[in-house]
Amino acid sequence: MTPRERVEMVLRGERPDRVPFTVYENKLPQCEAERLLRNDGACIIQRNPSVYRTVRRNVAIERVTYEEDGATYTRTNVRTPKGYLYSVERHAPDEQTTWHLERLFKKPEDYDALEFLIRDQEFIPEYEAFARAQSLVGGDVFLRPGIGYSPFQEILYSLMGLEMFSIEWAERRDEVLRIYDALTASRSKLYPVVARSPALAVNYCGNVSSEVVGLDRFEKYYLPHYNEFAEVMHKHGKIMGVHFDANNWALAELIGMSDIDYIEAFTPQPDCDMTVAEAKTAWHDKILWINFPSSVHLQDVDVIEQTTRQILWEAAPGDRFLVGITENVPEDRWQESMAAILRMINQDGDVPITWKTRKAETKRDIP
Amino acid sequence: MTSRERVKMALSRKQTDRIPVHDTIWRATLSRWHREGLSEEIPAAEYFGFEMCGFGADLSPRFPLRVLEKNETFIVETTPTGGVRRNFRDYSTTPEVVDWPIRSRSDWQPIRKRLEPDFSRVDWVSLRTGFERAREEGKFITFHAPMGYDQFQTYMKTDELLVAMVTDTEWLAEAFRTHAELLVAMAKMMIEAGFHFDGAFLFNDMGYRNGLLFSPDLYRRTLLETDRMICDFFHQYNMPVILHSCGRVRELIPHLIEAGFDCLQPLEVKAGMDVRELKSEFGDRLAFMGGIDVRAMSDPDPDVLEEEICSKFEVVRKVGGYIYHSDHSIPKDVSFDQYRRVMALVEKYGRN
Repeated sequence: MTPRERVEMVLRGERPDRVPFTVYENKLPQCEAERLLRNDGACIIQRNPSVYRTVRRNVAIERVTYEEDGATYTRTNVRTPKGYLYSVERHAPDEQTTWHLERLFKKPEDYDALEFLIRDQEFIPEYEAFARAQSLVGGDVFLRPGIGYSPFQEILYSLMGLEMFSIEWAERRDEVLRIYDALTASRSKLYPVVARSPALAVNYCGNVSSEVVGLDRFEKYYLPHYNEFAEVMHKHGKIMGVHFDANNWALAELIGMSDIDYIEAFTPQPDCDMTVAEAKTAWHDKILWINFPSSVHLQDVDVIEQTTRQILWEAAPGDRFLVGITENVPEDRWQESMAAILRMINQDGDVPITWKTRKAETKRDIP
Repeated sequence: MTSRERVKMALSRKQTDRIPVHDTIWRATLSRWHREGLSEEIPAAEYFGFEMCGFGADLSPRFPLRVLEKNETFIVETTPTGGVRRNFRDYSTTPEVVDWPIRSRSDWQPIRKRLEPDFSRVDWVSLRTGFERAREEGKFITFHAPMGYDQFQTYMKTDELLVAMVTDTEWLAEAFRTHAELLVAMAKMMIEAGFHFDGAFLFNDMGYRNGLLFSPDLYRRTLLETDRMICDFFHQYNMPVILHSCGRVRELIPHLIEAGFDCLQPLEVKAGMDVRELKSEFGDRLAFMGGIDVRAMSDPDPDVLEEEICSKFEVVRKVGGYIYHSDHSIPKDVSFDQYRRVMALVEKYGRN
């Protein structure tokens, strides 16, 4: 069974021979260690190409990249009939992360231009490029595109930022909801385009901070979008998941009641506030696709191995379960850490995972 | 003194500021009390200030539950232990056992294979919520589980089980041990996951109204070593072990002490278990919980209840090592007002 087949089996609700181990395409630099990991069963999760392209017929967008004080910046200029907007991002040295320095929305006068920008979006299928890539990547790469943030999160995280959003939510909620409605209409146009594509599974980007969003807003403004997308995907025999990489305890019950098929990037303790066992209980009918807790990468190999064993054990019998790497791992740690995780999965991760590996240890404790 | 400290001291047979309070109330009794004025919003345990709280794991073989028959009155379904039971539709009373999964020794092996520990035996989400709340409220938190002979009544017809204990002692001892190992493994799993229980509360009914269901000798040959293993395990974590064993189990007490149990509950008065006598005979080695006659609670003469509580508390209060509990659980013939009076008398006579 190839690593890709393993991933696909889990996502189809079937039982693989072993728990899959996956790594985002940009977390695995090309080198000998990478080749060895792939030989041993790691599956790369390739998040591009997309299955659609966004076009705007009445808005001009230009991106200017420049350097200043040794850092790289991108300024995005947006010209709409309703006004001019711009944003500035700084690139991290590794080019894997960017910081929002200035967001598109800066003042109440920007609402009209922002709404025009959103309503002007159209989504054009790009199925052929995706299918071609899918046929070429081979047995250890799985293509899993995404569709960006849900409307509320897009406003909160991308368009305004937390501080600006908080002010606007308090002062001009109707205006915020006007943008939300525009994004909702836009996303509804996007869902069928994505669902008809050749992609088996598609991520709805989550990144939800329960502490910021809170239960009421999550239930009112987030869940309906996940459920709507899931419904459209299911009609086409596809599945969808959400990238929930933060504390999920407060949201666990609502997530459990949703139509989301898989919880992606779920990060167990010690980094976030739920264990794998708790997640499996809370979301017993969903696929759990975890991110191995980042802080553990910095520990000794025996701690990494023990953590992997514990995670596998908590996920026993191992159905509907994948172990992934979705966050950056320090340059001097990823080779050793990922090798240790994969080694333990290959050793203890055969599905069904049984009591046999833990039994001897526990027996010793029985007087 | 918090409830946790109070119960802990009582289980160490030390005197406390007042007698700790805990009880078990039937669902039908609660329904009656709700009609009689107990708020549905406030749990009875909170209303009456019960000081203990328990959590456990699914220790069954987890056979799938299937409904075999259903009509307006009854529902017949298979159980997680592999038997068949007939219940009233509202599950309001003890069910009729229609069939048992073990008829002979050969039926045990398929069940045995299913008694493997794993993480899905615990509802971790409810556990964490309940545990944190109980800890916040300062309660004494127990790992609770059925065990031993009593647990196997869900697998075998009582008379067949008792006969098998005599005729095939080795098998039953192994079967009890298998279940106990699952119990210990699941407790360990929960403890390692951060749930630091204060004690264990284990259920194994071994008596009836007139005496033991089996002899002390048979207990020693089938259960003593297993019980000792369990008690030793919990003692490693400084967790005292409370044994619930109904009926007249007095003759077993020296053996239970030898196994390592720290406390005996519920001391059924109608079976001749008198906490005053037990305290004087075994009080230096065993704590006690219960022993307040539920029949006195519903007696129309209020003096009967006052005498029951006053006379017993007079003996146990000063020496410690005692936790209030009814001598079994509160049946529905005890009214809300009567039980409020029980609690008032416990408060009145339980203070040191």
